[in-house]
Amino acid sequence: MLDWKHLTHFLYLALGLLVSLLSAYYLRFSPSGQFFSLAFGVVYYILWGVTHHYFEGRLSSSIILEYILIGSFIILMFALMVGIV
Amino acid sequence: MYFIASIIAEAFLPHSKTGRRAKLIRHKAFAHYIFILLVFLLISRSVNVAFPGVLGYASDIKSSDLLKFTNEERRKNNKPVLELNSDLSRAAEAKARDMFKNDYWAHVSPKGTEPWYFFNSVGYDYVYAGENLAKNFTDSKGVVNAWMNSTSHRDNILNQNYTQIGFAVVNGELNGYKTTLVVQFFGKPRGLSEKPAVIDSAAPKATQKVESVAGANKEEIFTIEGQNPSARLTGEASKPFVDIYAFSRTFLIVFALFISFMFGLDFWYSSKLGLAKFSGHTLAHIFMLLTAVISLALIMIPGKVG
Repeated sequence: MLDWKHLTHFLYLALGLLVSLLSAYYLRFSPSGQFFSLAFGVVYYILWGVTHHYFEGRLSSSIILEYILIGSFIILMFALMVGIV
Repeated sequence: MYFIASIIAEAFLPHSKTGRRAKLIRHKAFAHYIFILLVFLLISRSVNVAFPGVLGYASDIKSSDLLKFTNEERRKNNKPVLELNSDLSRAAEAKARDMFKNDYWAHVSPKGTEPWYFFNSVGYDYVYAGENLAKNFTDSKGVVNAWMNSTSHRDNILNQNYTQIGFAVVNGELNGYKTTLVVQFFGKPRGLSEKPAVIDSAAPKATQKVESVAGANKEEIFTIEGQNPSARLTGEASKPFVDIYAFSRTFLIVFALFISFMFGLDFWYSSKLGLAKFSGHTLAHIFMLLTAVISLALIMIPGKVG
């Protein structure tokens, strides 16, 4: 059976990431603009992760750490690529 | 043999009983990845400072190729080919350096300096002059193709009034971003018999201008075939030993795709075995990683002409 609550949560995530992606495309000739677009996406993803797991009643420090680690990895990777650091 | 197989299985697949993620995508692994990226960053920046020119940004844009492709387009359209002029190339290089120095990318600088200033600064006495710009390209063909796909730039390339051309291909940092700027200057030197005329360009982005400039025509024409031994293409961007940006971009995209694949594998295997997970949402991680990969790929889309 389709889990509507779950699906709604994922729609919110997809929407936030889509906004990040569109702004990254719009700002594709501005590295700092692109960086901040992705940084927005990462922050949104971490907040989404925390909120989603909180509402599911299984939020733990390990889960928060997982989102932060993956988010940091992505941010660092992107910063390296655009030569922003 | 069994030992090796179990190590590989642990690295790539979630634990079949506890449901723990594969070792390559556990917290510890991500902490290692972050550490490796930081070390890589530290090393590449240190090498850049200690040995400038070893690591850097590189593009495969050559003035000789730009001339070849530009003239190919003119031939296709039954226009006479343009001759490379070293003064025009010097003027183009001065323009490119001015853009890097003053952090702009436009026909007119923020201080109001027009392209014609650079023609005059090298003593190029012209009746017709024009300018095409490009940035963020990595190869010569891409630059000329983009110009040909833009009406105003195409008009410049196929303009019958021009007889000479000069190029500058300069690497540098613009708005904090390492890039290659390409400047293409067109001109027709004023002959002694030619009468001055003044016609202003109409559109703000118009790249053709006819001006009255006093002085004799003292052009020396250098051709790409090197008929003149002193002929030189100014502004050939010097290539670093290792193009660290191209290398790191490719490596990071492949790596991010690999991590996405690992999460995909985790999702598939866990679903197949019906494993209960006490971790973050795998699909959310995949979404985020793919967003990052697409954003990274966007950086690699070359080009903008102006």
